[in-house]
Amino acid sequence: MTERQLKSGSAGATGNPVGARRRALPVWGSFLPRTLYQWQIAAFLFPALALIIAFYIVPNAMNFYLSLTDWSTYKSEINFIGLRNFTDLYATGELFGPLWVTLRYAFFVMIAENIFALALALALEESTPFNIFLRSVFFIPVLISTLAAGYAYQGIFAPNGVFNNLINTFIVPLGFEPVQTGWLAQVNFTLYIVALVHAWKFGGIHMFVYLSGLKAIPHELVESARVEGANAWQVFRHVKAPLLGPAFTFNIVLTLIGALSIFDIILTMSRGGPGRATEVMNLAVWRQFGTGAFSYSTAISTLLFIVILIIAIPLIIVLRRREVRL
Amino acid sequence: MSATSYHPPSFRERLYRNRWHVLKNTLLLAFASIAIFIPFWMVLVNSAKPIGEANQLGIGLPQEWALIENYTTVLEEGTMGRGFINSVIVVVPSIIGIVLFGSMAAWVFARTQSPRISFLYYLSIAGILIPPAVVASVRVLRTFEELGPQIQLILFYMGVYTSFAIFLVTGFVKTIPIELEEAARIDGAGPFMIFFRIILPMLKPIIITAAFIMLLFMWNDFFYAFFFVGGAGNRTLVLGLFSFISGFFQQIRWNLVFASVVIVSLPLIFVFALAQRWIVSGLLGATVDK
Repeated sequence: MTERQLKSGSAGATGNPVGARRRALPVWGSFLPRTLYQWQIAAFLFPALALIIAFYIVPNAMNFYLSLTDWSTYKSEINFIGLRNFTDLYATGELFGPLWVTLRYAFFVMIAENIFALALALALEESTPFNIFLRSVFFIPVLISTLAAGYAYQGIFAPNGVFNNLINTFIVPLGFEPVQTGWLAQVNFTLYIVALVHAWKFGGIHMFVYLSGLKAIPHELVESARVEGANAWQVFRHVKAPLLGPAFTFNIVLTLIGALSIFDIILTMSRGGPGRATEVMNLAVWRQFGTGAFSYSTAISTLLFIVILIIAIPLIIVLRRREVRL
Repeated sequence: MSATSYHPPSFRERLYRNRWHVLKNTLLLAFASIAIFIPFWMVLVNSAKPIGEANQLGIGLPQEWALIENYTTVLEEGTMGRGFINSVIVVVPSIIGIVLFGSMAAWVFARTQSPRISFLYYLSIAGILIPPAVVASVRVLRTFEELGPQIQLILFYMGVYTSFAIFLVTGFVKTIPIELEEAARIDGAGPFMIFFRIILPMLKPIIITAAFIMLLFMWNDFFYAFFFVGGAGNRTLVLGLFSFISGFFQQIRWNLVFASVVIVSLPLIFVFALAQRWIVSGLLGATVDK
């Protein structure tokens, strides 16, 4: 901290590298560049900011407005209609239905994916050739397309699929009835099977985040805890877990957001079915867009936007407060 | 490791520790076979079977091989070659733009402490948290309709994913000593010279990591591409996969499904296999603690 200030002090009052020679220069006094020096900062920021504002911020803001209009493929003009899209969708159960499915799905994915990633990271922590090989193996699902993974799992969980065939080769010789369950056609638990596949698909990348967190822990701390007689669980609970704080924050928040905005894996595995049992919000956005009711789909994505903000921001604040720094 | 332990492990302890290691590695291998090897094996063998055999969805080797027929059918009927080129046309320029513009902005963000700059920083990394509003984006980008869906998709990807590059690179720039830049400045280098000659080359590890993560996101993206790309001629590889498999409305042909799954997955597995060393060390070194 102090070192950082010292360094920045030597580079001018604000620590700005871009031609900062005099200490008294006002840095970024207004959004309009006032000096050559600020013009240079602006030149570096401009391309990225212009792209982000024009193609990310503006559409997101426009989405809010469009969700309050009657924009659809059947009309040429767009009129402001207040909250009618939301009340319409609420009345048919198409607003909170997908929301509730999405929340259950996201919560389950977050738990499963983090347990999967953390357990693998702890098991593969030492950089032996065996472990390095297995890290890459568990990373392969991250590489393949989610859509392709969904199709493959459709074949695995079909009533005559690979999963049932494997079970039946063991239990049928023992005299049991062969299993014929269609795992992706169950109102009660198909959502959770898809969630497990989601955790399998993306867990590898979060494993690397935990691994890099583990690598940053000073070896002496773990070693001295061991010397004092702590067992593996105690070392994890009292030394590693607190120091993994930033990795936990990053992974918990990103797995949650990734699951809240999921689309393709649900589309290929269950298509929102059976009935609407696995229709998550982005699937509803897609379906409404397909019927030409564009304002309904913008209304659902506005709701998704609000839900993510309500969940993510308090979560980040709470998790960052709990982080332990050396 | 043994420097701090106060007694050398006895033979019994070493045996015990070894046993534990053997047990752990056996469990890991068993888990990897169930979770990774079996699904991939299932996809591979069934993509080489004729339709009748593949539809039984077994995991045995094919009794009758139809490897070449299946893959040529998929490549021709699924227009996978065209899809591959379309994906490259969209993904490569997006990655170059994201990484270049993202690094430029990240350099300023990492080296400047002022409330307005940090406001702009949080504004530009908001894209990590909040997914884009895709339907409204389609409407905004219709302004560029005459440039074709590829350009629209590239602009959309750059707007959405530059945030991720900025986040990763900013963390990395903070670890580069500022003295290097000062030395160059004293020697008379301007900011553009400093950035392109000194900073950018040093960013290589994080740029490889960021570019690879972008490649993953965009190559495998279906949801956003679906909204932008309508015509059959412009479909990316993943969109082609979707329309190819959706075409089996009568009877699903599992052998062709699995063969197309393999073809779509191969490019990224190939890239990862080639650049594995840099990607893995980048993933392990990337800091998420800003």
